[in-house]
Amino acid sequence: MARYILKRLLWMIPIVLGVAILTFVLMNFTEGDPAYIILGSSASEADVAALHEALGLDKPYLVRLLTYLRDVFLRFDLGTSYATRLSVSGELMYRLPKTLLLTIASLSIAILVGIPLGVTDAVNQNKLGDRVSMVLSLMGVSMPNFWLAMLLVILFAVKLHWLPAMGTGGLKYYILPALSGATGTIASLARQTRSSMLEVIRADYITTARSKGVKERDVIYKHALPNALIPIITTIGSAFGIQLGGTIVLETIFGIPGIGSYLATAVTARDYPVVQGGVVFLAICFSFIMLIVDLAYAFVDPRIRAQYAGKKGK
Amino acid sequence: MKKFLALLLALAMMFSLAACGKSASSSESPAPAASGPMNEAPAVENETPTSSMDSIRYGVPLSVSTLQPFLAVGIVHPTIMYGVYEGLFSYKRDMSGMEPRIAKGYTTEDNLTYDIELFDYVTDSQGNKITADDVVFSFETMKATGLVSDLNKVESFEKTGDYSVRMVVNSTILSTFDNIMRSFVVVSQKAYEASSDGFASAPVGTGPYVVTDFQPAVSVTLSRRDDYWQTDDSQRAFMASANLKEITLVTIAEGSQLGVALQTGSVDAVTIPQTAGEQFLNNPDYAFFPLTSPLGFQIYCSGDSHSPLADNAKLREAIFRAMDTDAIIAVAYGGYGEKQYTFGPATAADFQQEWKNEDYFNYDLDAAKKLLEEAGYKPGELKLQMLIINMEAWSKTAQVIQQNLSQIGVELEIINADSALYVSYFNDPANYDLLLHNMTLPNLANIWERRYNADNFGGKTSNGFEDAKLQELVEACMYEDNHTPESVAAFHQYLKEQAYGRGLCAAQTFNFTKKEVGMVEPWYDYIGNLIFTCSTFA
Repeated sequence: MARYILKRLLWMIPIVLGVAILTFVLMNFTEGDPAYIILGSSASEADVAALHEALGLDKPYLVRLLTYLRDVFLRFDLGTSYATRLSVSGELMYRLPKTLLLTIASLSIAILVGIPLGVTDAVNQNKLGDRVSMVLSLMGVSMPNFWLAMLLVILFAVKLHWLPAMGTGGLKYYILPALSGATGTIASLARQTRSSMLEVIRADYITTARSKGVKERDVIYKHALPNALIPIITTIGSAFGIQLGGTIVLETIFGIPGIGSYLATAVTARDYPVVQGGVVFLAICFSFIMLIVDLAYAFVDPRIRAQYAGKKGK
Repeated sequence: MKKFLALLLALAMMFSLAACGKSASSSESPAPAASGPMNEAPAVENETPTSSMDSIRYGVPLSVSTLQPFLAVGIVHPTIMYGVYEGLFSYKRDMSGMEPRIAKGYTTEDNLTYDIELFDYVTDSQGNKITADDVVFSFETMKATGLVSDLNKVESFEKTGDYSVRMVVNSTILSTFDNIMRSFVVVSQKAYEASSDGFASAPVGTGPYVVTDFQPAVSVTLSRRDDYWQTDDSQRAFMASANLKEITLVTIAEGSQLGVALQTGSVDAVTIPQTAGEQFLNNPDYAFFPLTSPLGFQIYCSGDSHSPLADNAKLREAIFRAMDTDAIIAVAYGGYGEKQYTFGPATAADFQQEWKNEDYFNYDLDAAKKLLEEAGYKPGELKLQMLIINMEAWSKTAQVIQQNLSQIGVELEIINADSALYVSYFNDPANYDLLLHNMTLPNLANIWERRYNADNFGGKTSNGFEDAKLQELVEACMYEDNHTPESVAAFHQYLKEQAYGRGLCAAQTFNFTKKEVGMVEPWYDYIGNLIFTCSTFA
């Protein structure tokens, strides 16, 4: 198992290297000059050229790419923002806890609601509860989270004054954003859980367990659910990764200074170091998440554990 | 059954989105305010505030991530730049020029060499005395960043005494001195070098305010200093008046959330898009301060050879006369806006009031059709492209123009670009036939110099026209010693005749405060930011 983990960690290096090169290429060949954005519409061509030199943008493309790779991989320096002159890694470290908190809160709600809902639907397949739940899931998946966010703000903040409309400062500030972000994931988790459970509860060993007189509750939660967890864990892992970098709309609406809003602003401003550094950082985070997901498979399924350990599954 | 239900739910969501759409508009970069005496009597009946608060929370869309002084314009909120830091000179209340701040005054004989004398008792919030060495250090630090193009006009900046400096510039273009003075602030070299992050989180300035709380990208609180160095009220600059005890800038990026924040009491004042502000109009709990933005729109015609507008003055005039500015104001700005009467804002210092009574491309469809015919085009023959930034006010304005031009048989394709792409394209007239743009400076002649001085763009104007007479006229009004009402009027008239570009209209910004804030006279900087630390309270 240790060898497997080490192998995966080593594989992360070429993956992150590829992401860094791809991001650099895309940003540098995307139209839009950061010097013009910084200096404004009244800048002359001479002023723009001077700023290009100050920012190092006058150097040949390959020189800039190699310098960037050297700084990231050998010096662990993600650079400095063109706009704020702040360290990119420093800003990411400041914003990561807020995005993490929002992501974990959303996912926790999604897991606590989505999985039991999916299990219930699978057990009561085609009954009224199942049908209603699936319709609600369809709504959840289809609903834009920014729309839901504004509705929640109007109801809970403006009308009822129960929760703050925006900002940071305590856990109560994350309730509305977490609910908004969780809805889509609840829906997809419920549907995935239902689908996985339906496959599993028809298996022979489930029939055997029932015929041996095992309580239905134990049949479902001790025998069926663990065998249905693999695709559910995959869905959770993907949702975690997507939310980590994709909560820009919720962060903007609720005034949470997270990674998503930071990167979105930088893309608009063509703040290359921030975009490049942010994407590399998210790539590293996502790689770790996928590693944890794969290790979770091993925890759940002993056959996979044996594979990782290099033994044949029995 | 499932498919029918899914369709029904989708339709229900669409309709509810349409109902929500009006109030959920996203925030744009602020349509900043005019300079000078731009407060107009509110168009609606909100009562004059009668009391004031010691501490105000102001919702702003700008995310304040750093408080460093040596950054490009707009990165740090101007409230901080004007309140915590100080330059050598600062704006007068009416924006007609600059007045002494850290500097006592200056002398110049040729508008090239300036001798500036400092007050000899300036101290920052840590008690460090400011000398000429600090001024030179601050200037050189700012210039080294390359982030402010105006500083490239300075040939030398050196100390001539403990409290005096000499600046030599290479240009006598109008407002060069003012633009340089507003481009950098002065800090103590000792304090700056001792700071571990270049004042990013704990600034030390000479201004009348200090930062007492800072949460990056969330909020920043400024509190009035009791030990501000300028104790002589007769010498105290207007911008250092510090009428307000404490202000907190709260970052709220989403436009509709600014309205929610005011409604729920999270903030006491906001500047918001009109769609989010209508709910506060005629509400006795709020005071309304409308402002016609100096960043109104202008339209440029392309002088590039690809464009049919390049060599056809009648066609350009036809296009301009088909634009209905009243319709733009009504549709795009909800009725809250004003026309422009020249290429630039009416609040500019050198705007001439009689221009408001002139025929300035007055909307006239019949005349437009006739000019189109004289220009050699029949309805339906012409297709043009207009480049804009993909933001709500821009899109709405362009859509009204599109509809206007369709009435004379001209098809207009709107090219939406994000702001980064736009600034890369807008100086190349090969990328458009018509360009929607906004720009403001304290004087019209400054705007014209930046955009129509062929020396800036390799022998042609920014929109690609080569016109010797235009160049002669812009040179006749763009210097300190020839900027006269006559020279300004001459350029205005010729530009109108040639229709290379026109001023269009400007939206009003909606500024609301809770009634108890008690703001009597708001103050806006030259691009329209509402600056509470320079405003007056009851």
